[in-house]
Amino acid sequence: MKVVVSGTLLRFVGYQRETEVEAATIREAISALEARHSGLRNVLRDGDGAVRASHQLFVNGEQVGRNALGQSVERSDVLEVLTAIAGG
Amino acid sequence: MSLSTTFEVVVDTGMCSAQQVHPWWMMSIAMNAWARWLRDHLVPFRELVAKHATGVVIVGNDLEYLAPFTFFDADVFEVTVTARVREDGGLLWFDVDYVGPAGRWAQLQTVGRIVRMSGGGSLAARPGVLPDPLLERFGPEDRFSGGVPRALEPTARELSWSPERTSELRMHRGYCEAADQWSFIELPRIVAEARESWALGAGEDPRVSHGLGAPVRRLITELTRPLFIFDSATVSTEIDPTGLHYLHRIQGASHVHATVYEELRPL
Repeated sequence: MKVVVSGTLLRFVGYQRETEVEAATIREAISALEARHSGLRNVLRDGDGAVRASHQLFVNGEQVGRNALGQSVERSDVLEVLTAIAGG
Repeated sequence: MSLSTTFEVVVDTGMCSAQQVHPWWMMSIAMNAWARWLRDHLVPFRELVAKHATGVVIVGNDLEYLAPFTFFDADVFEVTVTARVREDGGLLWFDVDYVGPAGRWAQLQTVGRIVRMSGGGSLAARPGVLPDPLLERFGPEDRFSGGVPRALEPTARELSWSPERTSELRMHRGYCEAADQWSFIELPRIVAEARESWALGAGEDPRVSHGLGAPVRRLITELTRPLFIFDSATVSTEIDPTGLHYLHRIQGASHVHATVYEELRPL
């Protein structure tokens, strides 16, 4: 499946906006991306492993809750990880 | 009496066009004025972000040139900024005055939404309120109630518009601030480029001379969503029959991110 990252997270994935990963759930997709980019986990998730509230998840354009990490995904799905706003 | 900060600016040619002090520069010095105000009366900007995990995202501003002022009008002028907070601590309102030897020649009103960083070092944030220890420093006279003022909509509604041009925009790093999102300072430059690009290709349209040569008299901006570094968008420009009024919408894939109204001073 494809994972799309933008916003403040982009610099933590080497400015690679789209990445193909092998995953059966949203959690696996995120973990696969985190495995490739060591600095990503701390900015994307809190100490309990939950996605931080300032980030939003979309699967095929539909927003899913930050607690829906166990949701199944298909090979053709697109997971977007977006930043709502940043403080500057 | 509201808390204010005043400082002197030495005029140089880079901050001016042939017609006036650049609108983008007016925004830039205003932001520096807010940083000075924060340092003088609340907490230094860096400390606000780094220690209090609190930021300010500009959601609207209204710049008005009240009188002509060019490079040749003075060696220096003064900038004075005053800030107020909404009672709940969710909005900051800045008033900036630009004052030369002949008096006040421009003013800028800006509203910023308070956001709280969610941690992790990315500066990603959510809407929030000022921490209580900071909110308590504002006296009763430094507080206001109500929402974000909507000057743009009634102004734009009074005019008739015709769509004239669209152009592509990408948020290169030069447009962005410390949090990798666009800086409102750049918007006057972006919309002026859209206006001038239209005029340069408009042949014998009688509005061309205004579009290329008239100074900006007023610039109202509403920012509804951020654009982040390397995001792309479209700038759609509408013009009124006189060629003195321009409405620019910056549209992303699914939302309008900002609307900017430009009013030019007749030549």
